Amino acid sequence: MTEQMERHTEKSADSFGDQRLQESSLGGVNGKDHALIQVHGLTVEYERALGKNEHIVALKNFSLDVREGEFVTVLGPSGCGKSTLLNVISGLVFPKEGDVRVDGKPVTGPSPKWAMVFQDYGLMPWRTVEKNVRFGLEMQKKLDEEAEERVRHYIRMVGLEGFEDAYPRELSGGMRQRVGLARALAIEPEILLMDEPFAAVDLITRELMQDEISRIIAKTGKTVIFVTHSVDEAIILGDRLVVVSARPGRAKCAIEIDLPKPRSEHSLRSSPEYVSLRDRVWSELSAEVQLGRGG
Amino acid sequence: MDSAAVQPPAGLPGPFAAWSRTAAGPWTSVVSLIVFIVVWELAVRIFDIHELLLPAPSVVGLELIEVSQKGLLWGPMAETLSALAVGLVASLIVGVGLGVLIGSTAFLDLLSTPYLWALRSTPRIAIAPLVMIWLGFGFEAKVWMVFLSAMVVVMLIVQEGVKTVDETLVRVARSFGARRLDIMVHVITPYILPFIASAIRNGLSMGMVAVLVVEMFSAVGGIGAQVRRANDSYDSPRMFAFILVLIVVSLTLIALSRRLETSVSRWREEAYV
Repeated sequence: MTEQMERHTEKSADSFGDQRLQESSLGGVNGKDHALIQVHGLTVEYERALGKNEHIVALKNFSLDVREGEFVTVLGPSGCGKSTLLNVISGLVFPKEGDVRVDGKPVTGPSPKWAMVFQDYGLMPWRTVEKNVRFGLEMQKKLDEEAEERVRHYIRMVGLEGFEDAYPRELSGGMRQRVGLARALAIEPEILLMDEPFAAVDLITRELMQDEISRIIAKTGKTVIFVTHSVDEAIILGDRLVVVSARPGRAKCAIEIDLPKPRSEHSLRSSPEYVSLRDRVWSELSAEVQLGRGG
Repeated sequence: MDSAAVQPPAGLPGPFAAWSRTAAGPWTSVVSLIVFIVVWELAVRIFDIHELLLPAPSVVGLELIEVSQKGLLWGPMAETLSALAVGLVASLIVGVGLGVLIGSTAFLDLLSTPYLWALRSTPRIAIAPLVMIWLGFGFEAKVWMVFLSAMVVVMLIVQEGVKTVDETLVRVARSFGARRLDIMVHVITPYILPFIASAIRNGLSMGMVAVLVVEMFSAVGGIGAQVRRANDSYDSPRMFAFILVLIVVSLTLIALSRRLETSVSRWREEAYV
């Protein structure tokens, strides 16, 4: 165990060389690893108000490659365009410049290959748990016996058996997000896009949900882009962590996280690797937070 | 869940416990109604109040039997209610359609809102003579009057409903590949159903007033005309009889629409308060 840990420390210490990292993780595909998601030179602007010619630049020249099966956490100060990134990848928002490719094909709109998990759950309040989980399948016109089986399967996987007929208002925040997760999993996407999914749940639930999401992702082998503003969450969940700069957001640096899995916040907190990693991420991030405040 | 919601409150402690349990029962309203009628009857007899001012319930009851036997009650009532029904259905179809259209189009919303509120705040009774000049005193005039009264209300309520649809839910639907029609059917419609139910209830009470206004103005056909005739001949017992029937009919309709409203808003938190 100790040996293994040391090896990991060495590896991560080695990959701390900023220069090399930026090239290998943010640039193009690096040979042997197949980049499932290629985000290239993304610039996204929003109109400040209808009809007015003022623009907010949410993302500026943002690039990121994600390998198949990789869990990438995207960390940044609030308002840095993290959510915009997911909206563009999922095909809900179109960039002014740059493009997103999945499996080499440009994204032109939503697809059953990926599914979103939303910060404020986005559950239909008039649908029961079961019907909410079925929602994505319904939208994709999959209503056969297999679809029903999937609904049951993923309700079981997120631990909501017995709550099939409950309405969202009868559930706690953590349980609501389980529904949101099951709904996304039910369409069996290759990619999960998670937009601060645990931002609205309490701290204890949050830690439990982090364990659970790690378990589910390990089991299902999905590729994940997970947006968060929590440093701990980003380190605990990610294979790789991308720090986004203050608005206009661009990928500031990427850090491989070689800590052994499964990780839990509880056991990691005291390990020296974790502490030094956390310090490093913090210093990257706090510079951006201050920049964001100043601008 | 439902049975828990209709359970009477735990009740008051001590000597009032038994009383509060009975008070919460279904018989309360029946008993209070009987008491009300008895007091009314006694008051009229004891103070010897003239029939023209306040007829006793027994007199009203007898009058009710008489008008119903003479065929002055159910025929005209059917006439009134059919005009109300046709006008209401038309106002729902047009009102919901326009409400959705206006509510989901920022430009139309901006353009039409002042006119809608102007129409909304115009007393319907002021339009009635105009409608009668245009369309006469018949069925058509009543239907139009109901339509004009109820449609604007329906439209405003639905428009408001569409405007408050949670943007996140639309985004969720789109992210799962929903098309415009899917969003309409699976997001907008369920969301505005409670609004439509409330529009029906409001439209119903507005429409009822509208149809009666035309009937009482014109004194041709319908229950309103009967009330007007009774009034013209200072026949208070008959007026009371008609008004009583109108109250019962309106209460029934409102109760039905309220039940509809509750059943479609079950998912909203307010429905359980």
